Amino acid sequence: MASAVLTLGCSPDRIDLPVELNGNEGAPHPAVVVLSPPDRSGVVVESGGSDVAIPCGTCHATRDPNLATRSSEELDQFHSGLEYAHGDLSCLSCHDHDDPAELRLADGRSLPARRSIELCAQCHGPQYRDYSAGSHGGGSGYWDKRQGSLVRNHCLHCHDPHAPSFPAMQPTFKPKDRFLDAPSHESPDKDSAKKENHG
Amino acid sequence: MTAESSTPNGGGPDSGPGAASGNSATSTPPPPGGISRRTVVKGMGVTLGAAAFGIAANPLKSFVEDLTFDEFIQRHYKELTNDELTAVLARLKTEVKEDYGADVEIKDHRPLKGVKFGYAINLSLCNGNGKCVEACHKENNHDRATNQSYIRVLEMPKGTMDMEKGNTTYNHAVPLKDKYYMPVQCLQCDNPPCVDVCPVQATWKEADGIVVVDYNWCIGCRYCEAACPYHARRFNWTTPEIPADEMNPIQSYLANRPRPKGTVEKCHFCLHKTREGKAPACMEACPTGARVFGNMLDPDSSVRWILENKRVFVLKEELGTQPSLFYFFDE
Repeated sequence: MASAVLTLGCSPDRIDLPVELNGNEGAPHPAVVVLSPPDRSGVVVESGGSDVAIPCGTCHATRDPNLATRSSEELDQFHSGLEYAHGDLSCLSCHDHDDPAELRLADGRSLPARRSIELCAQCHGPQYRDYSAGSHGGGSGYWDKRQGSLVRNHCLHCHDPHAPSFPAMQPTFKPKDRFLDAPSHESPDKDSAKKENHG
Repeated sequence: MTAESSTPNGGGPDSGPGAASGNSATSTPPPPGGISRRTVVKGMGVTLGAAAFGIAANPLKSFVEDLTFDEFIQRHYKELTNDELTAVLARLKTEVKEDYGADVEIKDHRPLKGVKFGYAINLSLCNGNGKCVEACHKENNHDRATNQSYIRVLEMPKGTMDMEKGNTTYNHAVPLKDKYYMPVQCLQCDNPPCVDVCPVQATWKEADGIVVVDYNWCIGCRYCEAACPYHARRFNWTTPEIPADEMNPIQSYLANRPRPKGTVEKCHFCLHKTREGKAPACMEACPTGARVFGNMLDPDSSVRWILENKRVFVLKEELGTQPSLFYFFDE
């Protein structure tokens, strides 16, 4: 297997993630570009009619961490509306209490927030394996590595880390059958209307 | 005109059956006027024949109104020389401008060497939201009135892979717990029944695996539509309606150029994109990441990894159609 690695796009300093991918060494462009995750490095609050982003350290630098907190319902000042549905984890299972803007791996090492794929991979091994092999997470751009880059989603594009299960969706585009959907003078045949069977 | 020749050949009560009566007429000596009975009968035949042809061809008049002379004499795609193809593409571009008011670029994309396309759809991820259906509709310049698309998403009861149990008209938040969702489009079979039945060879399989249609050669008999076990072909009952500002201008002869009324069309794996190395529109649109497209001949491709490592199945495998589109589940 070649040594090309996932490269984070959109950030000024591209970061090599320790994700082995089947690569294209010497090609003019990376085989795979992973989109930078949404910026989550703080909370947004309304102040004087406009939204202001407040870095994590603004509050957390002066407060003692509570290792036992497992739900936003236990909080009364900030993050109280946060939807949380991610197993039985506590906040500090993933967030670094020494550096609240960053993450923390299970073995205690600090991890930059932008490398959160590695944090997810600790527990979600099959998904990480499939993602690395290109069978999870989708993509756009080029299938042909010789001609261009495949642009991949980051975990956080599809999964909210606090409530990661993929949300329900409402279908917005349905076929209109030229026979069944045409205005009819007769009472519609419900059985045949259930199925769309015409070309 | 003599009294004898006024009796139509074969129409008289004493005339023999079939062609024998014509031959027997030659034995009659020429009448004094010098015009043989045969000559007269021949002349009548020509006149009647022309009139009959005119009547028989009457229904074609409305058809021919939509058909230019150049279009009528155009040869099969595979028989076109480079110069002829260039002229055809230029003519089609002009026709799209006249018919739809849109400026488009129609190219002829040929298969890439060393490429056999494969498509794998993860049914554990697909939630039936239908974004692929919509993306196909827009990308491939489908008829707006019918929301035409090459893709149908079947809502399937868990525990069966019988397509007939599927439903495409569900309209509720997805996914439902007791259902799974299976997008069906052309599977680009290696043994395509639709190609076998075409009486005019207007559809065929290309080197990269894509089954294509020459829309200008198709006679609209719909045999292929009936032969496809996956219900993947579509017939243009009317001239597609596409607003000029919604027309995708990046087009290809065998792909997404506007199709004429009365022709059959089908998914072509977005060959106007994929033969340039790009991902098909349905894959790019999928919000769940369920679609993986690539070159099955490349051992490092994602689609090959899936074929080698996942539980993969094909639709109606027992028919021996050997599809290039695979479905798989995560464990």
